[in-house]
Amino acid sequence: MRFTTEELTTRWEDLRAIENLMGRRAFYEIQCEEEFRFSELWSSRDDICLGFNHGYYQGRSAVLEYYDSQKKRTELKTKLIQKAYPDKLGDKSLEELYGVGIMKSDNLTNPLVELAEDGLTAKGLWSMEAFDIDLHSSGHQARWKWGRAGADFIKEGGVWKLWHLVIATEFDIVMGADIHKEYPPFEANPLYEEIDTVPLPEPNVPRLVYESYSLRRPVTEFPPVPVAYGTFADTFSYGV
Amino acid sequence: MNKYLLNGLSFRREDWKLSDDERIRRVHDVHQIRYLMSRHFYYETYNQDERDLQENWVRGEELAKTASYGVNDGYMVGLDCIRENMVERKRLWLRKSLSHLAEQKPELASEDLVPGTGFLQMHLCSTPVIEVARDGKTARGAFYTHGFVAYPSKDGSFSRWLYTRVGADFYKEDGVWKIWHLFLGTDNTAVPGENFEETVKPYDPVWQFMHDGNPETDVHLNFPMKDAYTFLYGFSDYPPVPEQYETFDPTIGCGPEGNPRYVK
Repeated sequence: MRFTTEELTTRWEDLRAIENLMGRRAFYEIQCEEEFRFSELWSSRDDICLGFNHGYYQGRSAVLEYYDSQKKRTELKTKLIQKAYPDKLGDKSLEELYGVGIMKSDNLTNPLVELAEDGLTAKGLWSMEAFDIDLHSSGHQARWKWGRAGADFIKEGGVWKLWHLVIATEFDIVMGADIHKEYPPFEANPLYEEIDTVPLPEPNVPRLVYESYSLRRPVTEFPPVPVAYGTFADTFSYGV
Repeated sequence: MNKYLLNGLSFRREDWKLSDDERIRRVHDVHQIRYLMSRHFYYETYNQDERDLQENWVRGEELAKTASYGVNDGYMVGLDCIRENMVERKRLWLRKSLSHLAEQKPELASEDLVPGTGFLQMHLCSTPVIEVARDGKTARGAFYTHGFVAYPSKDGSFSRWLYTRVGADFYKEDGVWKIWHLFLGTDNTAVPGENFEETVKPYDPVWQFMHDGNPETDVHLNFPMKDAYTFLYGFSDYPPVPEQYETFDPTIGCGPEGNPRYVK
């Protein structure tokens, strides 16, 4: 398809906006703001979808519930860290401290975006090289977390938004661990075990979406590599 | 001053006097080249090496002859040689790797043992420098990748972090950007879970998983070159960081002719 100069310029702006949207989401995660930026990042449609290795949060209310739980967990972690370090953090409010001690960096690489010929939707795939420092019921853990993110985007009122997002984790290992070894679970730390009282909701479409790497795991193409397409009806979806 | 710096940074893009249409098409060229490299590395992870050659590499007869895939100790020149290694020898190597797994884990059912089981290879491509030639026919790129490889081995299992410098030349074939010359120079590898300082190895080819002394599965380089890439000895000016250029010349590219150690 041969596009005009004007069309090509618009399509370049679209590609930039889509890559920026994914970049923003990653920065908001670093800043523990993702749960507050829902309406900025996500489509207003009811059929949005967020997937992980163990299932999908399908539909607006399920995705909202996921982010709400993230917020509650971060609030609790903040409170527990403040309690553990009264000398350093005791004089700050929980609002000021929100997200203290948490660092999740999804470093996005290998960008691949396919913009539909009709310009209304787009698909993208990224590799993610994350280091994930988070508070668990056992205490702080620093982990290497590598994987890929596949996403469908939709243009709403001239602005690109996330429609379906699936994050496939290839490995999620404690720094310093051997990827092929099995380690016993960490013991709970009385200072932090309250965290388990506020779990994330189970996906409302629970299923093995993606099996992390192991010696037993065959290679599968997931998330699939996007290919050029005319309109969304012609292609696959990263959601369910 | 080496040959890559002849143009220097004083070469002004404005002198090319491009129309607005040409300029926006060149912007898209750069995007498509970035996406092409991503697609190449996804197919590598997904163990779809034949699909990679079919979709991402040059196809024309003459271009196919000069296509090359370089690694630390030389080059595979020609698509036939690249296919022999990337597809056929790798397939045999994966079968061998699978036999190690079957010995170690007899509880695995035969249907669970398919080529690629237990194998993981990832190159996360970042730091792009991409220049499209003035004539629009070719482009040159430099990238850096952090990678990971893991698989079943005769000793149980193998895994490494990989740090690799990438250079590439691209050719616009029938309006679509394709890989023409690709060079992966591994800077170092390190063992996950062990002290980096103690296990880091410079000059350890990314192909080491097909370098175990088996003539059927070891990589066969039809243009071997000692120290084709190493960061030792101050040879790190290759693969080159591309600068603006008018038209392609093999001596500035990522094929063997562009390597400072090239001897005809």
